[in-house]
Amino acid sequence: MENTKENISQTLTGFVKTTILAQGVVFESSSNLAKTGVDSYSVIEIILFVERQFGVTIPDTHLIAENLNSVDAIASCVYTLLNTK
Amino acid sequence: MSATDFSYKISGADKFQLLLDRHIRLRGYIGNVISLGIEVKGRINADELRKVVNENTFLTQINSLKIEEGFLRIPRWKAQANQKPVKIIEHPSEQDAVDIKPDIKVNSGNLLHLDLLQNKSNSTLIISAHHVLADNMGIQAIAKIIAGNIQPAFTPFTKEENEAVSIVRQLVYTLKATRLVFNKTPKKLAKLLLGETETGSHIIRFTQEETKQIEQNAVKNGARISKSAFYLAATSMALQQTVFAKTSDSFFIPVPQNQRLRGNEQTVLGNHLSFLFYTIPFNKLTNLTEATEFINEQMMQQVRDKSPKSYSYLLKTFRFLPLSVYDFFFKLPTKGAVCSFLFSDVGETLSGMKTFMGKEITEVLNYPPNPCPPHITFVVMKHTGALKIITAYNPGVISSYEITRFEEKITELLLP
Repeated sequence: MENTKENISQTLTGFVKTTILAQGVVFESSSNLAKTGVDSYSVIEIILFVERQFGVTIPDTHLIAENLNSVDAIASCVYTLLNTK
Repeated sequence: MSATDFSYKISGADKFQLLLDRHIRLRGYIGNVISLGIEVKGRINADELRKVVNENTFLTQINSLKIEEGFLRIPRWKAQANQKPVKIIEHPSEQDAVDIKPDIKVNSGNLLHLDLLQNKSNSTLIISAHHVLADNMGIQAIAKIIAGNIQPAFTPFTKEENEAVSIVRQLVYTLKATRLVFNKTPKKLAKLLLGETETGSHIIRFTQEETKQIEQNAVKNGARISKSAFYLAATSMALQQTVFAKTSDSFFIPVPQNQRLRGNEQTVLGNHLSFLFYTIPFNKLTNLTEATEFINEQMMQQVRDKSPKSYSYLLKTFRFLPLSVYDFFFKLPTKGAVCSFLFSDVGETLSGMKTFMGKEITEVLNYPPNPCPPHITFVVMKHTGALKIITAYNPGVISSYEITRFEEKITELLLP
């Protein structure tokens, strides 16, 4: 599967829904992670999943609130990193 | 589910809390109790509170639970036919909330205890539970149930508790965690077990504006994802320069990790916890940025290595052992104090909750459980964006002067 922004977002959404969130929690790729109950520990899990799944490390300089607010924001960051490799 | 067919295995983390309870009681302390204080503007009507609490069958049911041994002597929660009402004590005079320390015995049939402090223009409700019954998230759920904000749910265990794995795999995880926990020689406070059984408490309060500055400072110091690393670094540095000033070695600190699936606010019963373990040599505590990054690296590595999962399996294995096995551990020279201090960052507490029983909430406080061992415990929390650091300590080991110096130091580090 090609790593488009949408595909990355879809993969990350699936990971968050199945691994991090309780059943029944309404969650979309644009949902604010903190408001959904995703805490910083879970964000670390998402970042490590990105490393495993897409083979890309998010550098410290990119670990800023606006890149970590939602799955869409993380996907956008990952997409940029993949295309500047 | 009827009131009497309730029976659940206790989790590995619950068994650990049971073990702590047993040993702090053997030393003459009150038991392992967790408390949450909610202060409101205006007075809560005690009769109304009694009605709300004791007409809630879920709350009376969990209040009356007892632990019985089941198959393979694994302890289980068992519902009692005669459910006792939750004890609610009204304190009519001005009294400091930190002085309220109810003792709750695990098989007394009263696992919950409410204290209502009535002042002239406000009330403080302190909700206490035996720590085997509930962890921090569980006691917050109890507050939300009383407030009518949520309905309780019976989903008692973490993924690790429910997951079926081979014995070999479980053994591998258990050994990995055992090595992580016990292959350390932490620096502890020297004067263990002086017979002092009182608990001292101090609270540092920051405003919302100060909290924003502290969080910006956390990011500047390298806590890009989790502020906990920054708070732990500042706590360790402040301690090393005050309470532990006469020693030179390293800290070993277990930090509880919430294992609930996120977004689940309804589960009350049980401890859904694992731990991250940090070793911090004192020579890493000379610079706040360096200390924060050092902790960050350990955090990332342990999440990468699935250490919290390993520790969950260790606790799961513990569940099969009789409590008497642990007596040996507590007779060692360390007296069971395997860590330097306890530290917990519970984050935003009662998030989004602005009122309680129709009254505006003015303060929320998590009171740490009994700090013995290792004699000093810190809880970092926020409510409505304002940070608080709550310290519980053993005044027979640490003086209030040392705690005051610690508080000055940590404030200086967090908010330079």
